[in-house]
Amino acid sequence: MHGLTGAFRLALAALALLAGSACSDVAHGPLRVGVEPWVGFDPLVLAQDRRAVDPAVVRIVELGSGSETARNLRNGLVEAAALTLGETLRLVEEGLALKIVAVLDVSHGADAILVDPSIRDSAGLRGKRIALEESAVAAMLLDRALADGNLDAGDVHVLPAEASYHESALRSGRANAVITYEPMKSRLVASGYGVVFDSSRMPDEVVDVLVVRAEVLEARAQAVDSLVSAWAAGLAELRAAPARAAALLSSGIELTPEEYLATLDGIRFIDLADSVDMLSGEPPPLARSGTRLADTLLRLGLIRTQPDWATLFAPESAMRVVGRGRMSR
Amino acid sequence: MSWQPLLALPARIMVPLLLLVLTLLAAGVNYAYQVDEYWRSVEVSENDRLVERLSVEQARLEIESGLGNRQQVRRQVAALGMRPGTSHAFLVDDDGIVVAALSRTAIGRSLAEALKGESEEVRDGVVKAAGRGGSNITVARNSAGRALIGHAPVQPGYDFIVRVDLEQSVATRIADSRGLLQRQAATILVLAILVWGVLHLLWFRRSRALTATVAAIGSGRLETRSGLSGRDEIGYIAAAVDRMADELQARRADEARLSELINRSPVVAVEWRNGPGWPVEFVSENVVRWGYARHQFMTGEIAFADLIHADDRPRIEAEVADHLAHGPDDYRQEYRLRTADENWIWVDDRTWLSRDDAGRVTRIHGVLLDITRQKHAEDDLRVVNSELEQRVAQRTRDLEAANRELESFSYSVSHDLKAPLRGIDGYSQLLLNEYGERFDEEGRHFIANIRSGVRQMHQLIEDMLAYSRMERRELELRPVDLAALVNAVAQGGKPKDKDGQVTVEQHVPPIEIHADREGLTLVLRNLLENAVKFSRKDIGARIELGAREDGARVLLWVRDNGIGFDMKYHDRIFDIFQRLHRAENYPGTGIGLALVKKAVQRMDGRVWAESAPGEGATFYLDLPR
Repeated sequence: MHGLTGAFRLALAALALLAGSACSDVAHGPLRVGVEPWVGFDPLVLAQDRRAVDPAVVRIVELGSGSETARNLRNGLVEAAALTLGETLRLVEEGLALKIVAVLDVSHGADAILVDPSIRDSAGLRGKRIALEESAVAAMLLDRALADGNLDAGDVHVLPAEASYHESALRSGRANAVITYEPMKSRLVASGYGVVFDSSRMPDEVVDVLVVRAEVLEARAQAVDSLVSAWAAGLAELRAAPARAAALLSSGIELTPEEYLATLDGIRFIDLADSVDMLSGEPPPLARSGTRLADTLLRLGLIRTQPDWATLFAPESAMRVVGRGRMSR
Repeated sequence: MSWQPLLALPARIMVPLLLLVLTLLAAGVNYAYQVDEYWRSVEVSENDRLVERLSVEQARLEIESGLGNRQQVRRQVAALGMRPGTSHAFLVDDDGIVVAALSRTAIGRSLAEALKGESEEVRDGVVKAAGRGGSNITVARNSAGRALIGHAPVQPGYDFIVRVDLEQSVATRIADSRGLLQRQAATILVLAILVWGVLHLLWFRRSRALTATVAAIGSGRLETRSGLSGRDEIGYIAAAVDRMADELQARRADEARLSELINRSPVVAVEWRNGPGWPVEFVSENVVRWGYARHQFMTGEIAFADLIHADDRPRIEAEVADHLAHGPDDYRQEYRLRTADENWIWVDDRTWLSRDDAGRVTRIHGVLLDITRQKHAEDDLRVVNSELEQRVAQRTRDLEAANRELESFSYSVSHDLKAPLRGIDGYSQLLLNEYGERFDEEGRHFIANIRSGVRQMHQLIEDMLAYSRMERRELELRPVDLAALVNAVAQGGKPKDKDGQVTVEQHVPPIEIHADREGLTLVLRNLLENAVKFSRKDIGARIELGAREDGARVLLWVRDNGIGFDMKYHDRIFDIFQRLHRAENYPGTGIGLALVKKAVQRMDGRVWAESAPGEGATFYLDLPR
């Protein structure tokens, strides 16, 4: 009966193939997560390096800037991304179906307007060329800085430049000021450029979130769980051994480990459990703070309507990971 | 390998099962082939894409590095991570230090350090690629054949290594094509179901009906018919089964009729196997008339041989053994059988034997008829016969005694009558001689009448004595020359012509006959005298004596041309004292022909006459030789 059994086995395998789901992580490839070189997202980079996540399931792709991230997310070259909440709202308004699965950090000074030494304060920006990324955070920082210096939008020249060009723009003199963030901020400060305005003056307004395309979240919830879990693991690693993390992560962004550790002061990381709290409830706390942000964006013309917060938050993955973490503890 | 377990399944389950398995098998084989094909095509396409990508990246990296834009170089390399197949990418300087990679954490470390924690296959492949050198872009397959590792030199002095995992691309292709495979398999499955449906309509449904029919017929319900038509195998088988059922039904009806006939017939049919004790293989139901049930014989509860009367059994066994050994194969035996109520019956067993090709007896068949009544009747008849025979013998003896007494009496009477008759004759003669003159004419006429009467009476007595003697005397059978005897009678005994000429012709061939000479002489002489006596007055008497052989007998005849007689008297003329004519015209005693008849009968012969009035007569004698 061996021949017959073999044939039956092959037939059963075929049956399994036919009956099996057409979807699997291997078939999809890894869940690509676009991150810009913002120190606040480094726990994800760290998690990947520490193998806290299966590279076949989740791959952290380090992109040049938030714009590039947004573009690739829009184009479908990444399925998830770490973005500012403002950027997220803009993408959503464009029609991209995104879900916020976690809140990553809040910028507390890590976003800043760097100026050449000739400019002393916000008012000094009048008539100057300001290089900035076309992002919500940059727009907000500029808005606040202009208000701070009693200036109008027409009082400055805006030079659109992606984050990877911010340093060269300032250093080459093509721009007198640049609205940028860590680690560019620290590198420029180390080079003698000054700060006239930073996100520490906009508490809780510059929030970074982890977003996933809605259809991907629906189809690959497990991979998203792995991503969320990777964030938690990376953050735990960073907190457990910040020096080691700094040694590992600083070189690639041309900071010394010490400088790197200093940049962390401008960032408040959000625990996954806190993240769940911020995304849950009626209404979720993030929706409240987000509404203020949205108002600003509306005013700046970056968005046209208030987003539908109820459909934007998807804390389930974070809940599962937190639940699993509690159980394993 | 045994196929027996498969035979346990009916075709209507087996065929769809096989169709399903074959469908899945086909899908499986198709899948395996497709996967193999995907590997080949993915490798080719990924190879081309990698060369193309390396070429583009090589140019961009040289520009960016030439501008000293390290961050841009790093972003450019890291962005390769968006390509799903790309698992590793390293830009390594001439000191072997990673300056750009998919992950920022590798930057600033040696390649070997950056690859720490990777599998040996990845490590070896990447390190080997970094050492390829040369100015061309090269792509090589890794040792497992599951990944491509490309190398591009980047000026000034960098090595750009990109590893592309093929498995992921293949998996994507498989995932993309799985729908197609599923549709193909589903199509095959639907076709298989259609085939099964057609088979079900054409075969399985009918074969199930046929199976049910055969099962019903097999269980004895011979009136069942499949009613299936068609020219396929099932149609032919069904038609054959229906015909078979027809025939079986007809046979069963015949059997029932025959069985009824046998059961109502006076015979009991039995079939024995030729083996020790002659076990009964069949016995008709009417064996119940002997008080037994069929099954008692069929199960061996009763041995037939034990029912045979002990006095008959050795004979029966010996006869049967003889028939089995030497034939004939059809025979009859009568013997006694014990009935269930302990009575004995006589049976007439008509038996025949069946033999195989080698001549050995296989079966013994018998029809047994109860002949007890005939047997008793025969016994009764035998007793009656015996009594009858005794009575007949007694009567015969009585009759013989009476006859002898009568013969003795008639002889004595005849003899004793002669003495007074002689007295009457003598004294009437004396009266005529002594006193004749004294009587007138009338007296003398009276005396003449007395004397005539005396002579007639004398003749009568003589004839009666002759007849009586004929009865009493012993036959002396000896060879006799018939021609000589006839001649002697014709010459010696020739009667005197009364009125005319008598001619006697003899046509007797020389025949020797075994007879009583004296008796035969008497017969011939009487017949000759008879012929002369009844000759016609107007013509001369012509008498023919003839004889001829007729097998073991001899025919003698005496033919005359006399007055003849009416054939209605042909029997009477041989009776004693019977006369057809008046004594005045033809004198006689009426004993002559009776004497002839008696003598001929004693010689075991026969006498008869043929005649017509005025046409003469012929007397025939039929005698044994």
